[in-house]
Order: sequence, then structure tokens, then C-alpha cells
Amino acid sequence: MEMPPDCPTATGALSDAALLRRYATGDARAAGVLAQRLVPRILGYATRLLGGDRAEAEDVAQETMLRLWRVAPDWRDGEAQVSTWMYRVATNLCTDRLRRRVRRRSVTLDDAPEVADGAGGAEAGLIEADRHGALHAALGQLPDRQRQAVILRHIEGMANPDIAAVMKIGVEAVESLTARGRRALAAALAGRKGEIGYGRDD
Amino acid sequence: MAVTIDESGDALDQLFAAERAVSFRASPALMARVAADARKLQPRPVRGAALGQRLRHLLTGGLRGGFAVAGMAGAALAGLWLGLVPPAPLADVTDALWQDESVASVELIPDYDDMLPGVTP
Repeated sequence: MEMPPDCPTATGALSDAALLRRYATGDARAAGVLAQRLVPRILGYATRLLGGDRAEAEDVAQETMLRLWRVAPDWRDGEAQVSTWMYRVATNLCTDRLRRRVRRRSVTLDDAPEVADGAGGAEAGLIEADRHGALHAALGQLPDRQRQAVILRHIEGMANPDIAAVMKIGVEAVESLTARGRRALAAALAGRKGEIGYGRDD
Repeated sequence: MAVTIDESGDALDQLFAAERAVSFRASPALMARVAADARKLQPRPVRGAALGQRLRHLLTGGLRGGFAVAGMAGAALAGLWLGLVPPAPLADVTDALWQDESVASVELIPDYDDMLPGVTP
């Protein structure tokens, strides 16, 4: 099955759920359109959750799509949005990997986090005067649930009820997590130097 | 331009906006792996699936009922065959019972007197 370079209007206009139904009934082109649409989103989300580890994020994206293909024949409309389901699976996969990472670190000091992967803390990002790296580093310092909520709300642009569905918590809990995450993020970025250069004059 | 991170969080919103603008392009290798998975796991077309379902039904639950139907049909055909073309021993019995003119009647229930020869009323 070849991934089409661009979506034909008829297929590209279909919803994720409609494409998944087509895939389940043997339409190979639907899988290509769905992958083009979803893989970059999962990849970005997983990369941010995993502190910038692109290789691990690719594995998470592939595994998430693999599970989507598996559930396709049993997919029921109305129970969940494909994107919500996808974020939930990716979140769980990232959480598992982060936990394994913590366990490895607790075994030996040689496995201490590397600054270069963006998970080393806000200071490294500030030294580099790189807002992208600084944000990733600061996000890496947040507790897992706060980081998930902040990324889903402020970077993925999801509404609180959708975040609640992804994280399987109430909307109030989402609001609390995002509020605390924002405060912690501001503190992490402001604590040392208080300023991030954009690197260009506007 | 520099962005100051303060407690108001306005600068955070700018950082988030900048982060949202970052696009993540999936590598061709990743897309190829995803496509291979999709190809491997894609259900067969509906016609093939229906045929497979019928075969599975026949080989599992439907088989027992099939045995019963086949048994009844076989017994019916055997009865019809024996009736139309009876084998020689069976034909003799049939002739003796129904078609031999020398037999006027067949007494299937013996007389009470024959069973008790020494007793006379």
C-alpha cells in the first residue's frame, strides 16, 4: 500500500472515523490518508512528552497507529473520537517509557539524563537562549500528569473536556493540572534568568 | 525581541504559540513502517470475510447439525433403495409375507389353545 502524496478531495474530506471504517472494509487508500493526517500529530505530541527524544517518539507513533489498525474492525462511532483515542494511547505509551527511563536511572548513575535530549532542566535551555529547547526542558521538569495536561491544552490546542477524556479524569482536575503546570512552568523558566531571547529582532 | 517570563504567564502564551507553529514531519521510513503495519493488519474485503465466516461456521457449530441432517438423508435414501431394489434374501421374505399366493393368511398371534395343549375347557 502506497501512501498517497496528497489527499484527493473526496477522501481527504472524510472524518477520521469514516476513514477508519473504509480501512476496515478493505480500502487501502483510507489508511494512507489517515496516516498522513495522524502520524505527524502523534509524533509531535510524543516528542514533547518524551522530552524531545525523536527516536522514541517515532516508536510511540508507530505503535499507536498499529493499535488503531487493530481496533479498526471493532470501532464504534460515537463512543470516542479517533483523535481522542489516539492521544490516550500515545499518552499511555509515553508514560510507560518515562517510567522505564526513571527505573533505569535509579539503577545506575551512568544513565543520568543527558542535557542534549532536552530533559535536563530549564537551565540548559536558558543557556542556549533557545525558547524551543527551554520550553521542552521546562516541560520535562513537570510531573507527568501536569506535563500531559499542559501540552494537550496549550500546544495541541485541545478543549478541557477532550483532555479529560484523554486523561480519564474530570474537567475540574484538568483545569487544576493545567493551572499548576503553567505556574510551575513559569517558575522554571523565570527562576534562573527570567528572560528568553528569541534570537532575532522583530 | 526578548520575552520575559513573569507570573502573569503572557510570555508563556507566546512560547506556546511558537511551539504550536513547530511542525513535526514524519520521516519516510516511519511512514513506510506505518503503511506496512496497516497492510498487514487490514481486514480482507467483505466477500472474502463472508466466505471465511461460512467456512468457520461449518467447521465449528454448524458441523454437528450438518451431521444430523446428513444422517437423516442417508437413512431415507437407504430405505428408498431397499424398497425399489431389494436384495435377494430380503425379496424372499417380502414375497413370503406379502406376495406368495400359497399363503392365504399369516397368523402373527398364536391361538390361545395352541399354547396350552393339555388343557381343555
